[in-house]
Order: sequence, then structure tokens, then C-alpha cells
Amino acid sequence: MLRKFVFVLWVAALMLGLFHLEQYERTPGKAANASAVWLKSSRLSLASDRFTLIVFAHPHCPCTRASLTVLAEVLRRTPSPARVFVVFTKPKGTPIHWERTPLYRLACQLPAVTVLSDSDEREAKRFGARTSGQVFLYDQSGRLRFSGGITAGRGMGGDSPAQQQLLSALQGKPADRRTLPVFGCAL
Amino acid sequence: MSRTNAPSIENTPAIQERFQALFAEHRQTILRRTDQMFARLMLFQWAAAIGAALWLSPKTWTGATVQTHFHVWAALFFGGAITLFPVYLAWKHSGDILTRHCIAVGQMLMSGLLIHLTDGRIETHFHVFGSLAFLSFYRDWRVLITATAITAGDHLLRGLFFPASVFGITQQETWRWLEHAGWVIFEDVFLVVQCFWGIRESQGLCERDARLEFSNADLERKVEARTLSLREANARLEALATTDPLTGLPNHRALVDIIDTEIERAHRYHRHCALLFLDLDHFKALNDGCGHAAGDTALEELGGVVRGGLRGIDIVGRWGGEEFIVLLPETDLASAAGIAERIRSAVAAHLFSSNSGMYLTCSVGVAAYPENAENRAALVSAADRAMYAAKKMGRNQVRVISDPAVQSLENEEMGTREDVTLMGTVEALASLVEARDSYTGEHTDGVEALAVQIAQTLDLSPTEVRTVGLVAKLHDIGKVAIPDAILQKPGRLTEEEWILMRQHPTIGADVVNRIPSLRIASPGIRGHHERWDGKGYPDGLAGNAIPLAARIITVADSYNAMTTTRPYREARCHDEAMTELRACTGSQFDPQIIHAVERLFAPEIPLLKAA
Repeated sequence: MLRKFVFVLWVAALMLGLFHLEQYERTPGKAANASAVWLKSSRLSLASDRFTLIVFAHPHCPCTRASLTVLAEVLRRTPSPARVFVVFTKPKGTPIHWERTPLYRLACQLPAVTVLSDSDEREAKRFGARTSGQVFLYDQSGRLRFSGGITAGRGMGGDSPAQQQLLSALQGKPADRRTLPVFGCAL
Repeated sequence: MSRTNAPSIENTPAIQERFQALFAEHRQTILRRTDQMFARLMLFQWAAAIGAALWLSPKTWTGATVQTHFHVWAALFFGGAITLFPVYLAWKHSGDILTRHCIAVGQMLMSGLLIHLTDGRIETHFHVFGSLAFLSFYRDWRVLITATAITAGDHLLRGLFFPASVFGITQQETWRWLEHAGWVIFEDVFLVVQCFWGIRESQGLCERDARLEFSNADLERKVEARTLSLREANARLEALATTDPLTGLPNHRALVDIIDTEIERAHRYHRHCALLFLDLDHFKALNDGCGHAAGDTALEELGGVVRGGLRGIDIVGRWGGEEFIVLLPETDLASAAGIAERIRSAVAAHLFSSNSGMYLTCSVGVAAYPENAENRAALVSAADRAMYAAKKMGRNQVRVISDPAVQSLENEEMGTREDVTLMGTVEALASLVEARDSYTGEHTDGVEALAVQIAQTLDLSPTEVRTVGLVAKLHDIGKVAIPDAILQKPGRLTEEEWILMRQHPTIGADVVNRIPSLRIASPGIRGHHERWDGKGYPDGLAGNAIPLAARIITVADSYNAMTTTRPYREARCHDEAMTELRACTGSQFDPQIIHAVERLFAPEIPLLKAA
């Protein structure tokens, strides 16, 4: 009888642990202070003939791998490829090539993607990105069409509502102004 | 678990019970083995989860600031919680039903943890299906239900509260979880079937084992019974081979081994042992006069009387006929003589039940190792000679081999070297007769034995007794000159043949006359067919003119001929022979000799004293 009781307690404890694990997976990072229009002060150039998509990533964030995977899938499905920037932040005081991680190299493998290092996190601060995996989509006129994460949870690749919204936005469908949660490390 | 329904005459309740026990034991073995396998697997998985967390997501960052990733703590603590309780149960309560259900829960939750840690990699989902397959090792479909319930429940809850985590959508899906659970259930179907097949196979094996056990046990019992039977038979054979059936005492064969062993022991430890040679007096007369049943009874009782006079370590056995041997370990000659005298007195005082009660005596010879002999044959021979001397000196007495009287008698019996040579010559001549006619050879031996007894009964001197023995041994030596056609003729002889046959006494006397040392036997040989009334042959002597030896041989010869089967007639019994002898007393036979024969055979003669 004691064993059965302990068993029940154990299962309950595991359920609680599982709940916390799920909670962690679903807890987003800080939302971006997104600019509704393209920032001319940015050293990134806005494309005049297509959308411009920027992904801000912490080079060491394990969850951002999923974001890049989803990005690759989005770009594959996009009929009109956008100009894509993947910007890896490099905080002040970090050693040289600190940002050159396997994640960086993974981003470099994405087709038609420009991978940049953001020294002192200038561009991230400029665009208001606060969490790794933050995606901004601007149209040709510089208007913000999408802001937020593109994964369903931390490290969760695969289809997600955010991915669908980005795809819709890239297809020129009306933009959803709701900022989607970003799951990743803080920038 | 129910039993297979194989119809068989061997499906006895006992076999069924044994089958159930074997199956339960086999089942427990499988359960324990699987529990232990999972215990090791779960510990390995826990380590793998920690390793995956450290490899894939070891740190979390805030700018340049780093911390240990939540996944590492989750792998360590949550993974530990998932693992340690089932492992503990597998260790302490291996085989219990709660243990395997706990393992099922833990294994499926570990799948979930690993999927989290690997960011939902599709490959990690194989862990779910692999776990189900491993859980089927229990051959318990209920465990699969538990595992499936965990997986299905997880997807149900995700579908309700976090659909994006499994389906990539935001809206709740009430039934879509079944699609995922369905694949699990699909696998379950095959695994459950496999479980039942496995159980059935186990049952079949256990049933065969149970039957085999019973067959083997039955065979073992039979073999054991046969072995026991064989041992008993061997023991009986051994007993028969070494025990005298009449007296129950060790027989000649056993006594040989016993004496050899005791002499070896005495030799090894420099000790003494003594041997008594005991012979029942007038046993032949007892047998012939009162019947062999009386003789057997006497022997049986004698064994008991002798045994009663011995110590626990002494051994008595029947050497043969009316001869008994008593072995006295740790006994010197003097002590042995005392024991022998005690036995002799006990025998003489005992009222034997033969012939409605009678008294018997025995003669005992005593010899000892190493004083008188150094091996068994010599020891027995010495005691035998001492016994023989006791007989010669009047019976019913004990004689020690070292007794000067015994030595003197032996010397007298042995005679001079010429006497020894003489006996050899006599034996050689006697063997000639036997070579011609085996009946005559056997007849001569019988005549000699009876003639010597008659001579002893008549209290003749040893020399006279020896002469009678010589005459008896050689009385038919003349027959070597008789043709085979007459000598071995099965039917009656013709008158002419009788004329030839009647020449054998003369021929025999002439033969022995040529040997100076045998001349003393010549008259007896010549006259052994003379008649008291003078109507005999070859010389027609009558009365006391006929040599005494011849008169004795005549009676012994006739008695032996009447009581021996011939080719043309059956042997007559003792009474009939005695009747014939009495009828011819005074005519054919010397009355004195007949009287001696009667004394020899009569049950109430003083020598065989009745109660």
C-alpha cells in the first residue's frame, strides 16, 4: 500500500515537473520595441524590389537553431525571395570572433542570406530587438509587415502559427500587427 | 494463467500443478530480467539526457552573461526523478506488478524529456516506439496499456492546452491527439499479439518441462527400485555364497577369507589368533541310522551350541560336512584350549532334538598362529590333525596340536618313509582298477571306508585297521586282469564268465604278493569272497580260517554292492541291506562282523547315546 501511495505521489511530482518544463518551453523572451518603419540609420540596406527580412540572433542561443530551421523552411516556400539578413549580436567586450559559432556557420549555409556580425549590438538596439530569434519583415516601402518569433516555443522547429503568419506576410497578405512571442536568449 | 487444452492421458493434477509452478517461475524470471534490463536502460537514458542537454543546450545567455541552461537542470533533476524511483523498484521489488507499470510510466516520460531536450527532433520520437517494443519484453499487455495511456494523455493535454507544440497550430484540437495515439496503438496491436504468442510458447515449454520432470522422476524411481532390487539380490547372492544354508553360519568360502584376514591382522600387529577344528562324533552313523534330517538337525543345533560358548569377537563357521571351524582372535594356544574344552563340554551336555532327543559329542583340535602355523592352510591343517588325533584317541575330547600325544600319533600314523612309499604304491594300484572300471573304483572307496569303520568298531589295533584298509583298497586289484567284455558287462554273466571273474581274488593276491610291503594284504585279498560256511571261493575256507580282514571286506563289499545302483538294478536302502546281511549271518557272513555292523549303525549304540 505504501508503495502504491509513493507511486501516486511520484506520478504527481512528475506531472508537476512536466508542467514546469512545458511552461519554460512556452515562456517567451522580451518582445521587441519594433520600429514601424525602416530605420535609415541602419547600415542594413532596404531592398527596393522585394521584402527585407532581418533575423536577430544571439550566436550562442540554443533555441535560435530552431528559428533558423524555420527560416530556411519559410524561404524555401516563399515564391518571391526576400532580402534576408541574419544579424548575430556581439556584445561589447567579447573576444574577437566570439560570434563565429556553429549557429553562425549554420546561418551562412542558408541560401541567399547575408550573415552579419553586430558589434556592440548596435543594429539590434537600433531595431529594438531584445530576444534572440526576433524577426522583422519590412516591405519595399519600409513599412513593418511582421515582428516577432517564428517558432512555437523554445527550440521548437517545425510548423507553427508564427511561421504561417510570416509566410502570409511574405506573400503580401494583410499583416497581422500583433507582435508574436520570441523564444530565445536575451540580447 | 489458464492452461493449454492439449488432450493427454498425462494431464494428471500433479502434472498440472507442476506446470503451473514452472510457468509462474518462468514468468517471474522474465519479469525480473526485464525489470533489471530497464533499470540499466533508464540509468543509461538519464545519463544520455544529461549528455544531450550539455551538448545541445548547455548554457543560456543574456548578452555576454552566461548561465547553465534550464535544460541541464531539467535533465539532471527531472530526469533523475523519472529514473530513480523505477530503478529502485526494479532493484528492491523486481518482478512486482507495480514495478513494471512504474517503469512503463517512467520510460514514456523519459521519451518526452528527451524530445524536449532535443528540441522536438523527429528522430527522438522513435524513442516512444522503441520503448513500447522493449516494454513488450514483459509479455504483459497491461504494461503496454499504461505506456500508451501516458503517451495518449500527453498528446490529449497538449492538444487541449498547447496544440502548437505537437500540431503546429494554435487552435485546440479535441480529437487530433488520436491520430498520434493511433500510431502507438497500431504498434501496440502487434506487440500485444506477440505477448500472447510469447506466453503461449512459455506455457508450452513449461508443460513439456513438467511432463519431462515427471517422466524423469518416474524413471528415476524405477531405476532406483531396480537398483535396490539388484542390490538386494546381490546381497542375497553374497549371503548365499558365504553362508551355510543349514546353520546360517559362514560357509567354507567365507571362512577362508575371514581366517586370511585375521592372520594378516595378527601378523601386522604381532598378535595371536587360534583356530579350533571341531568335528561331530559318529556323524555318518547318525545320518545312516537316524536319517539325514536328524543329521541336519544336529548340525544346526551344534552351530548354536558352539556359538553360545564363544565371545563376541570369535567366529564360528561350517567348514564342511560335520566339520566346524572356530576362529579365536587375540587368543593364544593355552586360552584357545580352554575355550575348546568349554565348547566340548557344552556340546556333550546339550540334549539334541534329533531322533526325539539324544546326546552327541564332538572332537576338537586346537592350533594357533604364529605358534603352530604361519598361514591359513597350515593353521587349518594343524587344527585338523589335532582333531583327527582326538578322534583316534577316543573322541569327545580336545587335543592341541602341540600335545606330545598328538605328535606321537602323527608319527605313528605317518609311519616310516617306507610306509609313505607304500601308500603311494597302494594308491597307484587302486587307480589301475578305477581306470578299468569307474564303478569298481568308487566301490572300492566305499568298501574301504566301511571296512575301516567296522575294524575300528571291533577295536582292532591301528596296524590291524590299516591292514584292513589296505585289503579293502586292493581287494579288487585282480579285476585288472578280467576282460572288459566281462568286467563292464551290463547284464548278468554267463557261467563261463563267472569262472573268469572268480579268478580275480587269486590274481589280486598274486599281484600284491610280489610287492613285499603289500604281502600282508595278500591273504585278505585272496579270501574276500570266502563264505563263513566254507562255500566261498577260491579256497573254500570256513569260519575263523578265513582271514579277519577278508571277513570284514566280505561284509563291507556286500553292503556297499547292495546299496549302490548298478546298471541292471537300483540300489537298495540301508534297512533292506541290513536285512539281507542278517539273513546271511552264519552262512555267508561272520556273525561277529555283522554284530559290529549293527553296532555301528544302530541308533542306540553306546557311541550315540540317547536321552
